[in-house]
Amino acid sequence: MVAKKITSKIIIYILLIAGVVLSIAPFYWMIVGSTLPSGEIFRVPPKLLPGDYLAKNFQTLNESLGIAKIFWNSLFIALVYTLVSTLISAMAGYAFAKFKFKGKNVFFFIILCTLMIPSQVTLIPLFEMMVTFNWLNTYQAIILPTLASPFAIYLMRQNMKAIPDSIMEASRIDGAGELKIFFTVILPVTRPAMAAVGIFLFMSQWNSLLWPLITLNSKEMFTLPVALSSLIGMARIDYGQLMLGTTLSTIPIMIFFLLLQKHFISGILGGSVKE
Amino acid sequence: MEQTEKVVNANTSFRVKTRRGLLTPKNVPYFFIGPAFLLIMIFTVYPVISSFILSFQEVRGVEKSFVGLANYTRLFQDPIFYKSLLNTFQILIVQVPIMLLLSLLIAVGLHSSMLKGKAFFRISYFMPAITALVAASIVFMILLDENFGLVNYFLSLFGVNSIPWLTTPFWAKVSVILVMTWRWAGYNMVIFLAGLQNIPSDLYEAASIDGASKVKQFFMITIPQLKPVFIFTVVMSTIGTLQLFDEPFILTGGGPNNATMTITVYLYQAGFKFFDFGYASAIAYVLVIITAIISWIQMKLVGDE
Amino acid sequence: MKKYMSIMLVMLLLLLSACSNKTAGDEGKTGNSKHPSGSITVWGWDVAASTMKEAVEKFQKQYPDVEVKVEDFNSADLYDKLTVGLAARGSGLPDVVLMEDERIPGYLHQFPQGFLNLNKLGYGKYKDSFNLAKVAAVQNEDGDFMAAPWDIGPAGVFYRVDYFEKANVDPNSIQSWDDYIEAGKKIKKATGAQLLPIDIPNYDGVFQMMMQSQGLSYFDKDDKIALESKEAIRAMEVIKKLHDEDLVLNNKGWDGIVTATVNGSVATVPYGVWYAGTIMDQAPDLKGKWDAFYLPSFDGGTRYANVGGSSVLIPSSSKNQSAAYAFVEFFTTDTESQLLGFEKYGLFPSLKETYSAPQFTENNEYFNNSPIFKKFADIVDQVPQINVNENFAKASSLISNAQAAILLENKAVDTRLNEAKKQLENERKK
Repeated sequence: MVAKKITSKIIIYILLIAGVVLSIAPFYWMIVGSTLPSGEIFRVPPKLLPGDYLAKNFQTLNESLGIAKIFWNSLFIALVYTLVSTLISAMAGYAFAKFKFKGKNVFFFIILCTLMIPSQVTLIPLFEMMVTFNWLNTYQAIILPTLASPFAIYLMRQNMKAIPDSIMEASRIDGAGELKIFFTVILPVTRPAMAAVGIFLFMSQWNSLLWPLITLNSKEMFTLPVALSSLIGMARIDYGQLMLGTTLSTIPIMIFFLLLQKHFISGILGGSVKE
Repeated sequence: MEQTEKVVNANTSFRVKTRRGLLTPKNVPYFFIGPAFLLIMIFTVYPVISSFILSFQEVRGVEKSFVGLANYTRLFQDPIFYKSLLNTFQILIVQVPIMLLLSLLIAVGLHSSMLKGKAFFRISYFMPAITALVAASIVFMILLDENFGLVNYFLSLFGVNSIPWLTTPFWAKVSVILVMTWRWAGYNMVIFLAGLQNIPSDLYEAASIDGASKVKQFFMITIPQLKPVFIFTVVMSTIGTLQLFDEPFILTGGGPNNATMTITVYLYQAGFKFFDFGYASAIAYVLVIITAIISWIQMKLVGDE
Repeated sequence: MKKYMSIMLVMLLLLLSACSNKTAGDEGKTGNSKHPSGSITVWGWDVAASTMKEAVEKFQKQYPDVEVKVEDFNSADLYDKLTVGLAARGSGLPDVVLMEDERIPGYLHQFPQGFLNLNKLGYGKYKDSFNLAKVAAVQNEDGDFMAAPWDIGPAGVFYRVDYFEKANVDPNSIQSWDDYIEAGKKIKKATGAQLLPIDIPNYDGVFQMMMQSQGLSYFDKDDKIALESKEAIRAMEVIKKLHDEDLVLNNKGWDGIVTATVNGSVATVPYGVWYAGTIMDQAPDLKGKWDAFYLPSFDGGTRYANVGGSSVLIPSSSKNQSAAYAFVEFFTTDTESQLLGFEKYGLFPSLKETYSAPQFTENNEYFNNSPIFKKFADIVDQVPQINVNENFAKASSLISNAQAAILLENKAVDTRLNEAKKQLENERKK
C-alpha cells in the first residue's frame, strides 16, 4: 500500500516535471540564444549551452534601442496603468457588488458586451480620437483607453460579492463615511483579488503591441514590445540581439508575478468560487 | 441572482446616524462607478458605435458613403470568410477541451500530491502566459522551422521525419493549436488550482470516512465543486478562441492557403492590408453576434445564472 | 446623482481640451520653398533607415536650417501606422515616408488625396535620370511622379560555384527554365543540395519574376487579369515541375531563405540584386563560392525582371512641404548618398549616373572575382515595364494560395489559376 502510494507519487512527479520542461524549454533556449552571435543560433546540431556573446549582444542592443529609456517607458506605463486601473476596477466592482442604483444592470450588461468585441475593430475610431486630443506619442494615449478594463471590473465584482454585508453595516453604524469604509474596510480584505487583477493588468499592458505601435512615433517613447518589433527588419536580423531583448523583456513581468503570485491564486476566482 | 443579492437599501441609511460629507450610501455608488463609466463610455462605447456605423459604409480614403447592408451581404458570399469561420470553430472544438483537460490534470496533480516546490511548478507553468507576443513569435518561428528548427532536430533524434510545421495546411493548424496550448494551459491551470484550494477539505474527510475511493471523490466532490470555475474558464477560453489572433498572425499569417485564417486575422487583413474598413467592421460585428450566441448557449447548457 | 456625473463629465472634457489645445504651430503649410527650414520627420525601415540617417548628415551641409528626424520601424509596422494615419485624415504622419513600389498603387488608389504630386514641386525634371521601369512604377496616370524613385532589385540567380563545379554544370549553359531544371537534377545527385528555396504558401516571388520576364504582372498592359494567360500557366508549371523533382526547399519566411543560403542546403537563390549584400553579410565563410547568372527564360521572353525596390513619398498632411521636398530630392538624386547605401547595405540605386562609379564596375572578390554588380547594372534598362495596380497585393496573396494548393495539395495548375482569377475578378467588381 505504501509502496503503491510512493510509485504513484513518483509518476505524478515525473509527469509534472515533463510538463515543466515543455513549458520552460523555449525560455531556456531564448536565454542561450541571447549569449550567442546571430549565426550560431541556426546551427544544426543546435547549440544548447550558453556562449560568451552576451556582452556584445547587450552592446549592440543598447546601441540600436537605448535600453534604459525603453525600459523606463514600459515600466512607467505598466505601473501607473496597473495602479490606477486596479483602483478603478475595485471601485466599480464594489459598486456593482454592494449597491443598488439606477442603470446598474444596463451598465453591467454593456461591460459584459465589450468583452466580446475584438479590439482590432475600435482601432481607427480610437486613433482619430487620440488625434483630436493631440495625444499621439504620449503616455496617456497608451494608458487611458484601456484604463477601465471590463475583465478586471468583472473579477472585482465577483470578489466583492463574497464580502459579507455585515462588515459594511457595522462600520456605518459606527459612523464611518462611505469613502472610509471603502478604503479602510473593503480594500484590505480584497487584497488577494487586487493582486490577481494587478497581475492580469500589468501583464496585458506590459505585453501590448498593436496599440502602442500605432500611437507612438519616436524611439524615445517606445515601449519594449514596439522596440523589439522594430528590430525585426527586412534585410537582416541580428538574432542574438533580438533574443537578448526578448529575455530582458520577460524579466520584470516574472518579478511582478513572483511578488504577487501567492495572492494571485486565492484572488483570481475568490468570489465566484465562494458564491 | 439579483434577488439573492443583499443590497444596501434605503432603510439602512435612515437608521444610521448623520453623515459627514456629500457621500451617502444612496449616491456613493455613482461616485464609485463614475470613473469606470466615463472611461468606458469614451474609450470603448463611442469607438464601438462609430465602427458599427462604419460597417454600413464604404470607405475610400477619407470619403465615406452609406452602402446599406452591402458589406454584410458580401460577407455571406465570401468563401474566405466561411473558411475563417470553419477554421476558428475547428480550433475551438479541438483546442479548448484538450487545453482545459490538460490544465485540470496538472492542477489536480499539483494539488493532490503534497509536492515540494509547489511555487516553482506554478511559476514554471504560468510563464508562457506572461510572455510577450513579440517574444513568443520570435522564439517559435525559429523553433518550428522545418529544416533547421530545434523541434524537428529533437524529433529526428527519435527517428521522426522532419515535420513541415508551418508550411502545410494540416500541420500549420496543429502548430497554432500547440502554441495556444503552450501559452494558455498554465494560465488556466492556475485558475483551476485556485478553485481546488477553495474546496473545503472537510468534504473530502467526510467522504473518506464513508469509504469513498479517491477516484470516486474526484467525481463526486471535486468536479461538482469546480463547476463555477469550469464555467468561467470555458467561457473565457471560448471568447479568447473566437477572437484568436496572436498565434496564427505571428506563426503563419493565416496561411498556408488560408488554412489558419481566423476571423480576426481576416478582419485585420481586410482593414489593414486591403483598406476595406467598412468590410472589416462588418466582419467584427458578425463575430460579436456569434460570440454572444455561443456564450449564451454555454451559460444555458450548464444552467448557471 | 446626475449632478455628480455631469460635473465629472465637464471636468473630464475640460481636461481633454486643456491637453489638446497645444496646437501645432502655423509655420505655413508649404514653408519657404527657396530656403527650407524647420524640422521634418522621415519614416523608414532597417537598412534603408540607416542609409537615410547617414544621408541626413550630408543633407544638412546643404540645408543647415532643416532638422531631419529619421524614425525606424519594422516595415509591417510602418504600413499599419501609415494606414491608420491616412484613414484618420492624415494625422500623425511623417513628412516623408519610404514605401515598397508594389504597395504604392494600392495606397494611391485608396487615399487619392493622401500624397503630394511631386511634379508640382518640380521633380519632373528628373524623368530621365532613372531607369524606365522604375519611373513607370512611381508615376500616376498622367505621368507625374507620385513617389521619388530610390532603390531597385534587378533579378538574377545567385549560385554556388563549388556545387556547380562538383556536378560539372556550366552556369552559362543554363538559358531556359528547362535547362535550369536539368541542372538542378544533376546538382542534387552530385551534392545532395536542393536547387532553390521557396516559401511555398507565402511567397510567390519566383512566379512574379517569371511573369515579369514575359512582360506581365498579374495583369496585362490593358489591365486585364493575366492569371489564366499562357505565360502564367507555363510559369506555374515550371514551379510545379521544380517541386515534383524535389528541387524546392520549402522554407518559412525570410529567415528560411537566409538560413538555407548560409548552411548550403540550396545551390541557387533567384532573387533581387540586393540579396548580394545579405549573402556577404551572413555567410562570410563562403567567400568566393557564390556568383550569379541571369534568370532563365521562356521562349519568347527576356531574362530580366525586378524584385523589390522602394521609393519615397510625401504625405499631403506634411506641415513643412518645402523641407520635405528638399530632403526627398537630395536623398534620391545625390550620387554619393546612393553609393553610400549601395556599398554599405547593398541597396541598388535606380539613379542611372551611379552605375559608372568604380564600385559598380570592379570585380568583386566575394563573388568569385566577377564584376557582379556590373552584370546587374547592365540589364536595368532592359527589365520589362509591367502594370502594377492597386490590386497587386490581393493578387499576390491569391497566387501564394494557389501555389500552396498546387504544390502541397496536388491541385491542377489550370483549374487553380482559374479559381484565383475568378476570386480576383470578384474582388475588383465590388
